[in-house]
Amino acid sequence: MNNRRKFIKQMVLLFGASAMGNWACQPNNKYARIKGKILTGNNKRGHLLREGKFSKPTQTNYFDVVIVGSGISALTAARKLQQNNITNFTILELDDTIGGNAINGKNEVSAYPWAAHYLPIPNIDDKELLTFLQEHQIITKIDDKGIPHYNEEYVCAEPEERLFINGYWQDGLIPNIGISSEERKEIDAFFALIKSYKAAIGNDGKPAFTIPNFYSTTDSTYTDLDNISFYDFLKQKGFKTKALFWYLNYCVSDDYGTNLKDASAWSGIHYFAGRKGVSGNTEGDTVLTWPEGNAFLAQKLASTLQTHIQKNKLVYEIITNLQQVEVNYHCFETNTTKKIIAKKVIVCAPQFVNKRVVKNYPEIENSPFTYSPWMVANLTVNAYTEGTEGQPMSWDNVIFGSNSLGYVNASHQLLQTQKPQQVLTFYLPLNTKQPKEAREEAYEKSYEQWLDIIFEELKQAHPSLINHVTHIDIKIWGHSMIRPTVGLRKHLKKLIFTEGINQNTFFAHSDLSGISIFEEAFFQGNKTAAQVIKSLANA
Amino acid sequence: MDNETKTPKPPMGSPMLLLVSIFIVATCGLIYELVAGTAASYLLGDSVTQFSTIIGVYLFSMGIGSYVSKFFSKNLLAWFVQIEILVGLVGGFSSLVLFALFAQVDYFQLVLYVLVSLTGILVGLEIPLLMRILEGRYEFKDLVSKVFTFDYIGALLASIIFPIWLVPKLGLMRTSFFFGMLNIGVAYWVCYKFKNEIAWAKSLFSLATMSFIGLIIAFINANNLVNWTESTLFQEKIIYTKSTPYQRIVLTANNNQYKLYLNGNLQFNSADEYRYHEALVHPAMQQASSKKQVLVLGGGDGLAVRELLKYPDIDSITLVDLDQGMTELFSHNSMLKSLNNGSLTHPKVTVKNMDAFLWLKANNKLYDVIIVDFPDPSNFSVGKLYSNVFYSYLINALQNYGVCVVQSTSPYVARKSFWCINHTMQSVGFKTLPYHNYVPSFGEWGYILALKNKTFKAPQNFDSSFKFITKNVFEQMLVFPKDMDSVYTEVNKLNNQVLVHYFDEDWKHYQQ
Repeated sequence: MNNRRKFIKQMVLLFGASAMGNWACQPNNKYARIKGKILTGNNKRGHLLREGKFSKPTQTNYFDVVIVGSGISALTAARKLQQNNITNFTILELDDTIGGNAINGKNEVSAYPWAAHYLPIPNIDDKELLTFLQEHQIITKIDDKGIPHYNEEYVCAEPEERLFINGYWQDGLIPNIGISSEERKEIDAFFALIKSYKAAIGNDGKPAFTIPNFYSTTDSTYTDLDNISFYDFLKQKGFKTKALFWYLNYCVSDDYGTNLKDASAWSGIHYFAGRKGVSGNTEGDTVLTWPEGNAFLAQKLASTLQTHIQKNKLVYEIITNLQQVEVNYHCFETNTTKKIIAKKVIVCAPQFVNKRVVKNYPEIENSPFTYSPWMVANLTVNAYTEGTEGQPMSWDNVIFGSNSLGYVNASHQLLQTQKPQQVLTFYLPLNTKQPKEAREEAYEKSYEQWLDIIFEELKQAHPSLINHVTHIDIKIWGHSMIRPTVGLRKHLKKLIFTEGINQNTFFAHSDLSGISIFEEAFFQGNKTAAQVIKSLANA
Repeated sequence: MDNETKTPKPPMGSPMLLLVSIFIVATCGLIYELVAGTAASYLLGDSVTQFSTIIGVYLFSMGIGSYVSKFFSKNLLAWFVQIEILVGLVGGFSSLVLFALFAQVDYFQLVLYVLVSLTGILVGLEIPLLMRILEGRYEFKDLVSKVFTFDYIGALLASIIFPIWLVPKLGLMRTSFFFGMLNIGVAYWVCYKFKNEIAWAKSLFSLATMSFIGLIIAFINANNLVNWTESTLFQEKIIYTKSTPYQRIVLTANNNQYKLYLNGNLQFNSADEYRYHEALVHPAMQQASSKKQVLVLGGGDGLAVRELLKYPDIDSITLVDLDQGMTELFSHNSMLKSLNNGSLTHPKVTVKNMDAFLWLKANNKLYDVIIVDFPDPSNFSVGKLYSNVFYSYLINALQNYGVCVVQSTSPYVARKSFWCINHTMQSVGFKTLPYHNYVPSFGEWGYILALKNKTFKAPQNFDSSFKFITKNVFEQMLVFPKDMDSVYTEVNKLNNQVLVHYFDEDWKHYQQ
């Protein structure tokens, strides 16, 4: 009997202790089941530039052309050189992966993007881009009327977008559920305005808005929209509906990482009016996307460049004179320093890097180049249905009122019919503060602090998400996108150095277009490569 | 409680309580018998045979129990309490054990009769032991009369409330758990009443408590909400459920008819599935000039494969079904194997548990005949398997003169959906031949026969062993009445999923 009593006592104690233990451990260990970390980006490597301590180069190589960087503009330039039979070139990349903003990760569930993740159906007069897409069977054919047909495995699958608003997942991102008829009228009025801008032609016969924006009009009726913020523009036009302002802030955050008050009215309108995609087999306003995001396109661009690419190379000095260019770089693998003497160099890094690296980079007063910081997280999630009504899981899933852009289901384009697990890419533009402050804060935050932010942002729509996430990796982008702020375009027009220094040092980067999108980077790469090809031919 | 004292047998407090306990014991005993009989008829069909053999075995086992009772000579009360607890546990968990093991074991009947015998023996022990316990406390003639009166009243009550109230309201599992708890309640009561006469009253108390808790937990959990909603949803007896990573498989039985539901949608009814599967398989096989290599996409129940195996000139059949849970069930369960004639374990058949879309995309082999038997396009996931991209992979997997057939939902209920599938298949270069037949469980059902580089030849006579399809029947199947005839639809693409929208509209319209 005593034994039994003792046994029961022990059991009670044991049970009680384990229950207490569970309770006590709960708050600290709420993320115990979630694996993952903050991935160190190339910012650490880049910061070596500030210190500027590099030994003398021990080896010198010779190339016709050096391309600095391996983002979209760099790869595009290299492709163009190759297509013009210039083969003696090399590509120097700081990171251990190529692609710049178009890089990806991959786990057992799916590939997933770390930044850029879609390409809208391009405008029909962007011929170079269409040709590239056709080279890689992304465009399957151009029909009799000259209209491209797209590979439907790459066209964003249905259901495309949903917005969580008033407790319901509605179809599409333009706020609709629970929006009053008055508010709806204002939203309609905004889109009517956009429609007129989309069709507008400037006094020089060029479109008011197009992509690449290089080809848009110089008519001041439209270019003056660069002088005013998108927010002020909307106020001037008499818009006041909160839902519309939230939606437009979402849009400029999505494409530019910039909020309504910092973005110029020109850029805000351009977001809608610049895109005039035409497709023979899909809607014109849809997008091309892949589980790995635009890394798919980067890999296609790089498909014939493998022997030219050198990774883990930090270019710390570009010395240009009338005869030649000297490119000095650090090799992380061997911890050595080398020199390349080249006829031409194409610098495909953003301008905030270039001013430190290119020796005769001109002094720019009140530099207009500012870059938005971002946090991107990839969440591996078990399939589960949250008790919310409306449209099922879509490609793009946005929560009304949130600062984040919501999440994109990276697994959406996978052909398999059943997905017990999915990877969701969560995007948070850090645009509520000025970039420098937001950037510094972002670098300070711990993994757990970021998880708090992620779950807080998604809580509304997915209160029990935390129980279904198995892995979260996080990446902080310090300078991810050029911000099309008020006046940027005017500044860009004045920067003649961007056409090249000494006829041998050229620049190609989407920040010179003022907009960080694939089409602009692709345009920059081609435009600059054409300059280089011409300049080599003249020599 | 070390100071136990032995007292002479006192008369029981209230004879009413005694009678109640006999009544409960009797009710429980009959309930377990009914539970076993019902479970066996659900699971194995043929209720006359099942009930008759179960009643026989049960009564015989009770006889064994009565016989064995004479070997219990000491501590009768303690024994009685222990037997009550055991009956509570064995009887209480009997339905759970039967349902749980049905799909898992090869010799289900053995399990069934062992369980029935065990319950019978234990129940058979109860009344003789009870009578001996009460011997001397009551006059013998009174005892016999009261015990058997209440025994038989209990039996009557059990047999009335079981079909009228217990099975429809509580369900089979909860019923047996509930009566298990009653048995244990009797054990408690006896223990309490005779605590001074039972040597290990305290141990028995805790044993009873643990068993009771076990049954309560089972009662709450076993019939969880999902189960509950399903049993009301299906209005049939659920004999098997399984949640695989991909779907919920539910098998029900009623009057010898088995129905399989996947995520709540009827997949087949054993009574008329031959109409569906003959219509699905034989027209395509007749059109095929070569039948050597056959591919089946979906169809994890093996019923289409059963029809295919009627053609001796087939060399090999590859079946691609996502769900291993499904194909395993239909490969190994003896009852289900009797439905598909063991088709999935036939040497000519290879089963691949892979996503059909991914498998087809990676495939580079050509097939003479392809049978596509997917669930209806009721959601975006399945909708992909009816897209032009899918069909372009399908046409590439077909021999030049190959034939393929796609189950295409109901052209009557989901008219737009049916013709959308037809138009989508045409959009990738198939020549299509839509047809339909009547399957009582489904209603009007549609199929699309699709040819690559060959022309349709007039139907010939089908094998006379078929139960449904003949030359004349197939000719009729090609005729579409006005209310099911072709309508304009868009092509179903990955990026518009129009079919899922059509299907939604069609069904909404039909249900209104």
